[in-house]
Amino acid sequence: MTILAIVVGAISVTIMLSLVLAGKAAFIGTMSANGGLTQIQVSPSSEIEGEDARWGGGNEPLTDATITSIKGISYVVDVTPVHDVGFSYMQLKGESKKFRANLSGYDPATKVMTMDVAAGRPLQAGDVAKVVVGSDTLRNLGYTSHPQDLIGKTLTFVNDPESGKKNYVTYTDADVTDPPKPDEKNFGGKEDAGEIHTYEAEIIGVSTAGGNAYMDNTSLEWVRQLTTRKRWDINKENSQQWEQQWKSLEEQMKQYNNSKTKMPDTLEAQRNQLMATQPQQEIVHESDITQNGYRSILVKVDDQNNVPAVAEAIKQLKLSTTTAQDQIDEMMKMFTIVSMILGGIGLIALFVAAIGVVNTMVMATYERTREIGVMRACGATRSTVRRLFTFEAALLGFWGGVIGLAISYGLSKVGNYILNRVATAQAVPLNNLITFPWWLIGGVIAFTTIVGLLAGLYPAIRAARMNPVDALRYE
Amino acid sequence: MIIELQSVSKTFQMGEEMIHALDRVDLRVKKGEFIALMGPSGSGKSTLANVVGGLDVPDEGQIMVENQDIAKMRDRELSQYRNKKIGFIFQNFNLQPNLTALENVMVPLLFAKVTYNKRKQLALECLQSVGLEKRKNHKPGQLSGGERQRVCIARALANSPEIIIADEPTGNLDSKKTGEIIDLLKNLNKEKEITLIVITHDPSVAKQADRVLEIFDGKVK
Repeated sequence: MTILAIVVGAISVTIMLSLVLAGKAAFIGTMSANGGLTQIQVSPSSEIEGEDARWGGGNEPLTDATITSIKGISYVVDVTPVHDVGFSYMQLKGESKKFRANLSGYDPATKVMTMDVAAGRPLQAGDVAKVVVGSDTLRNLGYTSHPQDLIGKTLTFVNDPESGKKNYVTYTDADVTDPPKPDEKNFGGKEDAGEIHTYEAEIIGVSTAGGNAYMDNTSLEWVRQLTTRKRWDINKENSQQWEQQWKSLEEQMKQYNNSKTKMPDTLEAQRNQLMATQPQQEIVHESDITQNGYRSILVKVDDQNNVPAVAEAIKQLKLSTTTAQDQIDEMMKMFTIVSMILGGIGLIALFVAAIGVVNTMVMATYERTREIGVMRACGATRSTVRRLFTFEAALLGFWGGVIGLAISYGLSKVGNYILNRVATAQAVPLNNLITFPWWLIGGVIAFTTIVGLLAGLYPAIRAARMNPVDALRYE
Repeated sequence: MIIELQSVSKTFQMGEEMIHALDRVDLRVKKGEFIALMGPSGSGKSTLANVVGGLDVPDEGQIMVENQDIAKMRDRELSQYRNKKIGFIFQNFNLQPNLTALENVMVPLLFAKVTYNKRKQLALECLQSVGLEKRKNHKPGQLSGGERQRVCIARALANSPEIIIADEPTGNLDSKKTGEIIDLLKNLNKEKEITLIVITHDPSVAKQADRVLEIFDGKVK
């Protein structure tokens, strides 16, 4: 039946468009998980201005002062700094499998992150060495179907200089019992000797899938501790004078080294004397955060609609912002392209269907030749015949669209049922994702009706042009 | 005088040949006349009926029907003429198989832009006048040959035409049914003063007409 072709065409257009809509909804769903739609991510400006440009440097680091200025912006509810730390690998305590390890730390005392957990609890103020794992780690560890069994287990984070993952900064304790010699600058302490350092944390929660799927979260405080380097060094405040003397000595020594001549004896004696009178070395704490600022800042805005204004104000502070809206906008562009492609495919399907309709209707007019002759004999004008056939074709299109939509609706119910079951197993916030908005329904029906009408136009004109006498004689 | 043909000609091209279906035909028909058209196959009797009925247009000549020259009419006017003035009856019935008897009779009324309820009412009256109101909801497949032809007659009567043109109306019927149909047509002819033009091979039918015209090679005798 001709109507079948239109039904199939209608189904394909409908399903493709509703899948795209579902994709958009899923994406926005993940973005809005954990309050993402009202958050702004702040990082140092990527613009390099003025004189600094010549020297290739000069981005203002993110400090507590930055946080204070951001807090002063209207509509800002709260602000938390965010800092990351990486390790060579991590393991579930007692197991041998190794996984990539990155921790992102924020301040749970602030009202910025509203972490939804599939098991356990979110981070709280005062937590140190506690981790909320993301769904990616959950899956890697093999606990997707029973996340609650992870709660209370221990994750071991390991820094192994030999592990080949040298891109992570490693910060370790210095060896307290062995202060180094004056001309040995001992950076990184024992690790340079190739020792492995481990840190343990308790898994207190598992976050639901969403924007944070790839992040394991912990408290900023613990990250601060982990990224504070302890090393031996002269306490510079107490030894400024000695430092100056040592520095000028080093400069002089350099001149001789460059020209490859031997130092004069006076210089060498000076060196020996300074070494003998070197001030005591102490363990010095260098915090990555204090030196280089926070990796980023997360800002919570009171309402989605105020996000652009707040982002603008933050940009005025010479900072870079990323909002969920930016990401959504980027995604939307992609979705538009995808939906145009899919819609195009659906349209092609409908077009093919339309050709089928034209063909079948032309054949139908042959079969109804005598009938057309009788119509004309009874007084139907050519335009009456044409309109009759066109109307029949449009009706065919209409019903094709309705049936196609009904079938698509049924399929979507099945699809939603399956998706919901899969989603809850994964603790993913998707509910009844496949929807049919009114404009989709109306649009598809209107479209199939028009397709039917246009397809029927040619056969209708043919029917109208038939000579009644010949038509009546047709066998 | 209701119908007047003056020097009407129509030619068809069949391959290489030119066929003169109608060759300068002159004809006058009085209102209420019962005319029988006889002649061998291909003699032009169908063509004559067709041009009088406005189904076909002559190449030359005038056809005056109630002081209007239908030979000069365009499709729209001609369709209206067929709708209002003419009732056609065919040899092979030409009823819509998926419509009931009543719905078939309603077809010409639809083209006359009559409202639905009125259409039903008038169609029922027509079926009554041919004695078939009891079969109004039957489809043609459920009717006998004679009954089908009666439905056709009812359809031809739908818009109260001036002229009924029947092309071999009894060609597919046995002698008994033939008699019934012709009697029915004669009654309509006399009671309603509908001009009747019947094309036939059957001499017994021709006998009942007021006038018999013979056509041979496109010429009327």
